[in-house]
Formats: sequence, C-alpha cells, structure tokens
Amino acid sequence: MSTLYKARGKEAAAGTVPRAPKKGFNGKRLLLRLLVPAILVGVWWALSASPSTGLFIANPLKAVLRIGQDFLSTDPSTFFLGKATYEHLLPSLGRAMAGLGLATAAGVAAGIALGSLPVAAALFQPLIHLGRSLPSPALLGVFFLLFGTGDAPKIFLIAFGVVWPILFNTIDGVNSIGHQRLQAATVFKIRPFDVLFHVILPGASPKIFAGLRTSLSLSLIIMIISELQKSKNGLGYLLVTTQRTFDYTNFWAILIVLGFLGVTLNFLFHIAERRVLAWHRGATQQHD
Amino acid sequence: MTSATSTEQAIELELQSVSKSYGKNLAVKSITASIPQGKVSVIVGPSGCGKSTLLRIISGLDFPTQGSVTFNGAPVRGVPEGLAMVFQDYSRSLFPWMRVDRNIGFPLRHISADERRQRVQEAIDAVGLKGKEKLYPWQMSGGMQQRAAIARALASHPKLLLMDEPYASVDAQTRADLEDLLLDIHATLGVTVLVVTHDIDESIYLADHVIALSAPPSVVAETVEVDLPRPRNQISTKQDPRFVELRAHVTSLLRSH
Amino acid sequence: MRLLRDPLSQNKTIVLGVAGTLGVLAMWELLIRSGAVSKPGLPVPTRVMAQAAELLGNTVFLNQVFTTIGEWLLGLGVAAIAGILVGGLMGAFPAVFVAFEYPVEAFRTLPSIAVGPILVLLLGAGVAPIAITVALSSIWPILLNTLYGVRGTDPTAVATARTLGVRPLGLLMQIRLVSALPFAFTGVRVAASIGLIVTVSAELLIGSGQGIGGYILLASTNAGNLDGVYAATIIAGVLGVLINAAFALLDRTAFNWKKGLAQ
Repeated sequence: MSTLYKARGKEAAAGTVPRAPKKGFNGKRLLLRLLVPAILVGVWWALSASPSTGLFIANPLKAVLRIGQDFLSTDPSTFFLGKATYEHLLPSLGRAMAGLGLATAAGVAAGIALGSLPVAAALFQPLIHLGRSLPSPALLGVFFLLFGTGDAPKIFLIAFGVVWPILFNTIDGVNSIGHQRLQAATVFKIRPFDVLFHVILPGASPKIFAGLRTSLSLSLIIMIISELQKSKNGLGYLLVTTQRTFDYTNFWAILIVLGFLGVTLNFLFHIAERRVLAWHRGATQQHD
Repeated sequence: MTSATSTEQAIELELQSVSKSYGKNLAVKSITASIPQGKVSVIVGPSGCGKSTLLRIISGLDFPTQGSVTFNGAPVRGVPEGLAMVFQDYSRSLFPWMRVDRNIGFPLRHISADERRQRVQEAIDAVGLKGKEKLYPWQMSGGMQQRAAIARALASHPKLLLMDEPYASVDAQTRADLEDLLLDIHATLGVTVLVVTHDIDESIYLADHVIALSAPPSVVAETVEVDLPRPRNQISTKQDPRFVELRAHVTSLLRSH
Repeated sequence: MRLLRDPLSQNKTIVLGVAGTLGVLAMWELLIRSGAVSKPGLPVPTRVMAQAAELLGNTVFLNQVFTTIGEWLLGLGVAAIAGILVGGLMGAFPAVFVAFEYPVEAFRTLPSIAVGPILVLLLGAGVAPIAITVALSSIWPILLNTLYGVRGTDPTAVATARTLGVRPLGLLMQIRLVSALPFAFTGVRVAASIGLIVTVSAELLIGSGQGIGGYILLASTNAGNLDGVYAATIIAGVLGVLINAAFALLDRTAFNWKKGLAQ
C-alpha cells in the first residue's frame, strides 16, 4: 500500500544499501511496523485520560466507534454507509474532485499552450509565479461575493488554489520532452493531432503527475477551509460545528476520517500513476 | 521491399553556396556540394565544424542565411517529402513511451493499418530486430535502439536517408555491426544515403564519396571519390592499401585547414 | 503545430515578463473601467496597487508581515530539523524505515490545517499553534527528499569510505548525510513555499488577528475592505515569490557540486 515505494525502486536501480526487508511474513518486521503506531495511540490514549488535556482530546476508541456510528451503517441499501457519509463526506469529496478536475483541464491545456510557445510562457511567467505563491484561502470571502453561497464558490476556490502546480509542471513537462524527439516528430511529418496526443502529452505526463500529486493534497486543505464559513455540510463544516458544541469525540472522529480520505485518494492516485507512467519508471533508470 | 531505383526519377541533393550564421557567429561558410542518387555520401569534419547545422538545413529543420538547397529538383522549404533521418542520440530521438513497433509505425499513421503493419515488419526484419517488437526502447541495448531508429527511418520508404553521427553513442563492436548493417541496407534498397560523422575511418569505409569540411567557418576542403570495391569488409577493406592511402589523404585535408 | 523554437535569451525573458504582466493588468483595468466586465467585488488593478503601496508604508501592517515571517520561519525550522532527522534515519536504517513508513504515509496526507483548532485549545492562541500547523504541512517534502537523498548515496563513495575504515556512524554523518544535503535542501525549498501559504491560511483560521492573515480577516469582515484583501493577498504572494527566488539562488550557490551527481 505504501507510496514510499519510490525509494525502493530507486534503491533497487542503483543497487545501493540499505536493502529493503524481504517480502513475506516476518514477525520481527510486523512488530517494527506496529511499534510507532502503537506508541502514537498510547500517547493519544494517555493524553485523553489526563485531566488537563483530556477535555479536548477524545478517547481514540470512542472516536473510532463514533466513525462507525456516523459514517457507516448496517443497511445494505445505503451500501453500509452512514448518514454522515452521504451528508458530509461525499459532498466534500465531490467539491474537491470537481475543483481538481476543473484545475486539471485548465492547467494542462494552458500549460501545453504556454509550453509550446516560449514567448507566451515568458509573457505570463511572473504572473504564474505569483499565482503559485498566493495564499488562496485568503480569497474565500471574495469568492463568496463573486459566486454566491452554493457549491460554486467553493469549487472555484479549490480550482484556483490548485491549478498552479499543474500549470507550472505542465509547462516544465513540455520543455522536458527534448529537442531531438521534437525534431524527430518534425522530420517524420507527424500530424499536429498525433503530436499533441502521442508526443507532447505522454512526454509531459511524468511532470504533470508530479504537479497533480501536489494539487491533490492542496485540494483537501482548501476543501476544508472553504467549508468553514457559510456552509451547510461537509467535513470542514463538521469540524466547526463539533467544536462549537464541544463534541470533541466527533471532532477527533472527523480528523481520522480526513486522514483516511487522504490515504485512500493518494493510493488511488498512485495506482493511476503507475499505470499511466509504466514506461517512465524503466526509462528513467536508463538515462535522462 | 525490393529496390525500385530504376523506375524512380533520378534524385539529387544540391547545396549551393550555403552559409549559416548565428548572429555574428558564422557556422557554415559557402558550402557547395551535390549528392548523387543511390550512393552513399559522407560529410566528415572536425568537431564543431557545423556538420549538424548543415544536416539541419538539408532536412529543412533550419534555413540557410545564404544559398539554397535543392532536393529532387525542388528547393527545400521545410522538411521535404521522401526524406528520413536517423539522429545521433537514439535514447533522445525514440519515444520512450512507445514500444518498438509503435515507434517505427508512428510516422506511418496516414496509411492503412494493414500496410502499416507490413511496412513495420519489413523494417524490423531489415535491421534484425525480429522478436523485439513489443519491447520498450529502454529495455534494449544502445545498438538495438539505434537499429530501431534506423528501422523507423526505413519504414517510410525514403528516397534520402540522412544520418547525423549515427554511431557516436555506441561501443566499437556495435559500431562496426551497424556500419555493415547500413551498407547491407544500401545494397538491397538502393536508397541515397548521406551520413555526417567526425570519424575518418568510418567515412571512408561507408562512402562512395567523402565531403571533407574544414574547421569553422566551414568550407568544403575537398570531395574525395572512394574507389574501394563493394561489398566491403571490416577487416580486408581496412587493410587495403588504397584505404590506408585515402585515410591519410582525408586526415591531411582536415588538418591543413 | 510548430515544435522547434529556440529558447529565449534571459534579457528577452525579463522584458517579455514585465510587458506581459503590465499588459494583463492594463487589459483587466480597461475591461472593468469600460464596463465590459462589471461584477461587484472584482479587483481593479490600480486601486489594489494603490492600497498595496499604502500598506507597505504602514508600520502596523509591516509589523504584521514580520509576524507572519516569524511564524513561518519557526515552523519551517522545526520541520527542517525533524524532517532531516527522521528522513535521514529512515534512509540509513531499514528498521527505522519499516517502523515509520506507514505513519508517515498516513500523516502526510492529513490536511494539517484541520489539526489547527485543537492546537489552539491545547496551547492557547498565538504563535505556537500556527507554527506547529506550518511545521506539520512542510515537514513532508523535507523528510522525503532527505530519505531519497540518503538512499541515493553513491555506493562507490560508501565502499571507499569503508575501505578507509570509516565506522557506521561516521558513514552516516560524513558520507550519507553530506551527500543527501542538496536533496534535503531541495525539500526545504519546496517546503518554504508551501509553508508560507499555510502560515497565512492558518492565521485566517486559528489566528487571533496577527500576521498578514489577521489583516485579511479584519479587512474582509469588519469593513468589507476588498481592496485591502486583494492587496494583502498579493503582498503575501510576492513575499512567497521572493522567498522562492532566494532559496533557488542559495541552492545554486551552496550546492553547485550537485550537478555532478546528475550524471
């Protein structure tokens, strides 16, 4: 499940120390794996039991049980998912994905255009650098003013916040395809359509994915921030309301759900990346 | 894939006082040369003598500051039809996200799938890559990758095959194999070949005539006819006293300018 | 589709960049002034610029900028120390890697900003919860880059050091960590940019009115001062660009030898 596998791949390629532990069941290894999580849960438990901090830190077991209660159910007709999943988790996720999708479409299209036109890239370069560094959550109020109070301002804010890494990396990716490959495409008179979809897009895809990875994490952060005000649902909304009602068990439950959501999305992203960039792992071991 | 040279109209590449400068920097100075149809011509010159610039101009990727290039009777403006190119660095000219057969067939997307498959297979057979069709370029050795690059050029049935330092990035043994592969292909297909190299031995071994360039700003020092018999052989041809003589002559040409 | 274009010279890039930026701003200004685009709340470049100039001359606001920089530096520093330490150990010792692999995986995808509110409850409002939030979000690039850097140490260098009798601890400190340093620095550079965005965002969410975020919060709620919101956001963005440029320059000068590793 680990996406840190990259380190393993590199290590295998370079044939360096340290060795990744062997696959298969290994009691010592399992103990090691459980060690840090066990310590973390232990500390959490102790803090939740302490009179000074226990007020704000919920018992981990209670928090997990609370997830079961709110986010899961025994009803097969709802796919064993609870009310909170439908009312809060999925709307949040939907907005994050809509924003990310919008940003991907715009970022890749603009990135390819700018990447193939050095003059245009130079014209917009300072503004792109600025956009990348803007704290977009600061514009939440402005987006509410511009786009009303529904899902639109939230989706647009997410898209605005995460488009920059995608745009930036796509331009970089187009520039990384290499002069000789583009010369080859020109000499062999490849049609523009094929150049776009079979040379430029695949050639830039390793960088595009690198940008998407950053944007994915960023989209979750902005998703939460966008739901803290003027919202009726969502995980960010729940974080606010549970604090207001001093329902800290629920608050911690949502933190766990958020962690779980991040790991799951990252894992899915990883599978997609491995499929699309299968050629790239081999190619980078050779050169470039 | 049999030779059809006799039925094609005679083609010829003609360079007329071609000059190229980058700003104040004169890379190529007034080059005049003609490349006869169906022969192997080699441009040889010291490193940085503007050989690659010249090849870019011939292939229509770049334009001369002065002079003109005529291919097949028509002036070259942009990449002309019937021209294919093998680049110096196979690892940077093949597409690493395509398997070998797709790399070779990619420039043929305008023709029918059946014909494309057939042409790809012919090209693969011609360069001795049978059985490697489904590999990615990076799964093969450098020599095999360059064979794939040659196959890609052959698959489009070019009239003129341009090669830019095609063997500069491979080891000596592979280099000898690829030189013989080129002579083989030339003998069977009768395609006009123009190779650019800095290697004097290679130029004489491959060529019907050698165009020796001077150091930049480059001019043609001399065009040397190579009257060595074909088929050539890595050992006996290179021991031929005439070969040794020609090598000494070309070496002196490159030195004296 | 014309593919082959010569790269532009540096001077040309700068001239085009300035021209492009001014051109976009002028066009935008024109669109709004002419009434072609007329939605209330959109920024008018000249007004935002005037507001930004005013803010930059205002000592109260400048103090808030310094507060933000302080929080950011504190968070980044904590993240750098912890990230290089844990990442280095994970890279050097397989056992440490196995022990920390899954926790790192779980925590690096958790949106750090969500932990902020609880930090305020535990530590009280102020600099500490913001700095910790910043550290929690910026530690990951540092940790991962250090990890890859230590793992990618040239095996020949390690073997050479071994034959010279360097002991395991010396091997880690003198060979592995040193050769991982440029990678760790790249991590810090990436983290610095993320960190500044998170600092301002955290000030907006859990701050008590301090920093650039505090100013933006005040401007957007109390007075409905939209020009102020835009101006402060852009100042924060420019600050980020400057920080990024400074780190890039530092990277080039301090780790020039890194280029040799790329071969």
